[in-house]
Order: sequence, then C-alpha cells, then structure tokens
Amino acid sequence: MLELFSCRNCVQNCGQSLNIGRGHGFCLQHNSVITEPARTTCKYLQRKDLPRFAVDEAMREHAAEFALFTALVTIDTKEPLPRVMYSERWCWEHGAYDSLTNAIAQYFKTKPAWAFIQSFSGGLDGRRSLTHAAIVRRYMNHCNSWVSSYRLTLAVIQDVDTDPLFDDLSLIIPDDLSPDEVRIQALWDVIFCRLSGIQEYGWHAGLGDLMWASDRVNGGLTELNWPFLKEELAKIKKDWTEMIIGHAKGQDAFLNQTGNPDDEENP
Amino acid sequence: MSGTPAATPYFRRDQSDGITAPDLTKTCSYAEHIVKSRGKKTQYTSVSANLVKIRIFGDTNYQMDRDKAAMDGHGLVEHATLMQALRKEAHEGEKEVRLHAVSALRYATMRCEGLVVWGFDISGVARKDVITWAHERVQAYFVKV
Repeated sequence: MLELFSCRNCVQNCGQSLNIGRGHGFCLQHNSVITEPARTTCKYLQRKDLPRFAVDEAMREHAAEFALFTALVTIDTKEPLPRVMYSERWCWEHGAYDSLTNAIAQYFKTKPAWAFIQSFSGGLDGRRSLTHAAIVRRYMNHCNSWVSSYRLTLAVIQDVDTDPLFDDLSLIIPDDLSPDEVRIQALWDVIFCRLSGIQEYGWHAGLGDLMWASDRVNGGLTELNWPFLKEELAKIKKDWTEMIIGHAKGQDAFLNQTGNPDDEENP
Repeated sequence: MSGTPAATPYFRRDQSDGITAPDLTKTCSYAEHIVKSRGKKTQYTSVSANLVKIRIFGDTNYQMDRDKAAMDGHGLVEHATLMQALRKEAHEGEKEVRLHAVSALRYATMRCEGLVVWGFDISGVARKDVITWAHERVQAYFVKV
C-alpha cells in the first residue's frame, strides 16, 4: 500500500492525487516531469492527505529510506530516475499537452510566487482546486513560516466549502469503478488536502483551533458526508478567517503592517 | 439448506516474491496502520475482502488461509469490525486519534480492508532480526491465487 508515499500523494506534484489527474505529473521540488507518478517518490515527500504534523514519524522514516537518492526514484524497486525537463513543444508533438501541468511547469519562471499561486484560487474545477490547495501547502512548507502564508491560507479558506467538480477526463477511472464512484473519492482528495493545509497553517501560526480544524467539523467529516460537511464549513470559515486576520494583526504582520508592499517571501 | 455460512475470503496484493513482512515491534492503532502515519510497516498486515479494490498494490494476488491462521493463534479483524472500531475512534478519540480515524475510515472503505493481527511470540528474537524473522513466517498463511 505504497500509494500514500508516491508522488500522487505529494504536494510537490500539485495537479494530481490518488484519484485525480491522468498521465505525467510535474514535481516542483525537482523541477521535473514525473512519468509514472504512482510509482515514483523521493525523500522530500510531503503528503497531501494529512497534515505534516500528523504523519511526522512516517515522513521521517520515508526520508531515511530514500536518503541516499539524489532525486526522483521508483518507490518499489528503488531505481533512480533521471530529471526530465518539461517541454511544451514535446507535449504538443506527442499529444500530451495538459493545460494545468503546463501552467504548473511555469512556476519558477513566474515572479512573485505568491501571485502565481493566488491565480489558482477560486472557481469550481476540482483539479484546479486540488492544485491550489497543494501549491499553498508546498509554499508554506518551503517558507516554514506562517507570515508568508497567511494570505494564501485565507484564500484556501474562502474556497473551503465550494464543490470541486470533475469531468471524467480529470479522473483516474479503473475498469471496475464508475466515474461517479471515483468522483466521490476525488472530492475527498481535495477536501482533505484543503483541511490539512489549514491545519498545517495552524501548526505554523501556533493556533490550536486551526491546527485541529478537523475537530470543529467532525460530524460531516466522520460520516464522510459532503453535503453536511459543506454546511459546517460554510458556517465556520468566517471564524477561521477572523482568527487568521486577528492573529496576523496582533503580530503586526497583516498586509501593509509589515511595511513591505509585496508582503512577500519568494522561495 | 443448512450449515454455517462460508467465511469471507480475504486477499492481499503484493510482490511476487512474497508477502511484505510486518514490523512486529511497531505497535500502533488500527487507524495509524491504515493511514500509514507511523510508517509503511507495523504489527498488522492489511488484507481485503475484495481483490479488485487492491489491484494497484503489487503484481501478485494472494488469499489468506484463515483456518491455518486461526489455528496458529493469529487474529483477523474483519472489515465490518474494523469499520466499527474506526467509527468509535472517530467519534470518541482524542484530537489526533480522531484525525487518523477519519482518514482511515475513508481508506478502509475504499479497500474493503481487514487486518491480520499476528500472534507471534517475538520475545526471543533480536530486534534487528524481527522483520526478517516475520517475513519467513507470514508466507505460510497466504497462497497465490
């Protein structure tokens, strides 16, 4: 059951998850195309499905297991994989062009990073929603600070009760499952990625109520009942928003309080 | 027609060279095992009541020999029992327990998961040898199908 440790479940591969995003992925850690994301991993893995602090022991063990590999590696046979630079031309010439992967592959060419990340917020497309939640978490983890991530987390919270929608082509649909069955799992991939990001922000900011945000919506979450959870999230997101802004203001870090017009760290 | 209903068969998908060994020294909750929050190997071995649901987890299909396992003192937490235990943890556990349990409920449902609870006595086995020791022994409880 290694899928949880594969690139599909890593925030560095923002546009894919266990049930979302066919074909090649793209890794922002190694700036490389991932040709077989379900079979690939590396020591920098950061899981999408749970907050980092809740899987810390597993992450340390995984990092140690793959410590002697420089970059991407096959998860089962431990064969090092070459870095594959993204080529838009190659994608067009081989019928492999994917607009979302293409956008993510431009990340390091685009400054400031936070503005690029913010451009994924809003909207109902499930794959874009996953990408937004994952890339915010990647940025937050990279900066290792709440200061650079509060505005990004606020954006995730504004979307937290929106329905991520999926067309069939966005989903990985095995022969034995219907698109609707996979669609439900894909929805939970996005919801857990969003909630885990909010919880990680809580950890960075030292805000216990956010760190255990999952507890505040335990009814709908425990039953994996999206309509019920959606109602709970719609009610609570105002509290979470006020909590983050209040905390940032209290630390003299809310937008122009820092004196930095961009209020930016750009890893 | 009468008689006891046949026991539900449980399967595992794994590598062709055998079942992945458990780490019998790593004790944890069902949920921690299922979400892999403590690492890839724990005291349990995951099995499934539906082979189709776990087809991506290896290249070889195995069926658990439930009778032999039971005779030798190993337990099986059946899917329904496991789900009941996870729901209880999700409702009544402490914060982190609940978080793990909620995720575990999702994964266990997807995989129709059950757990083998090994009853081996490892008191005479050096800690560094436990995984290799267990690897040799757990193979006897699975047959390729």
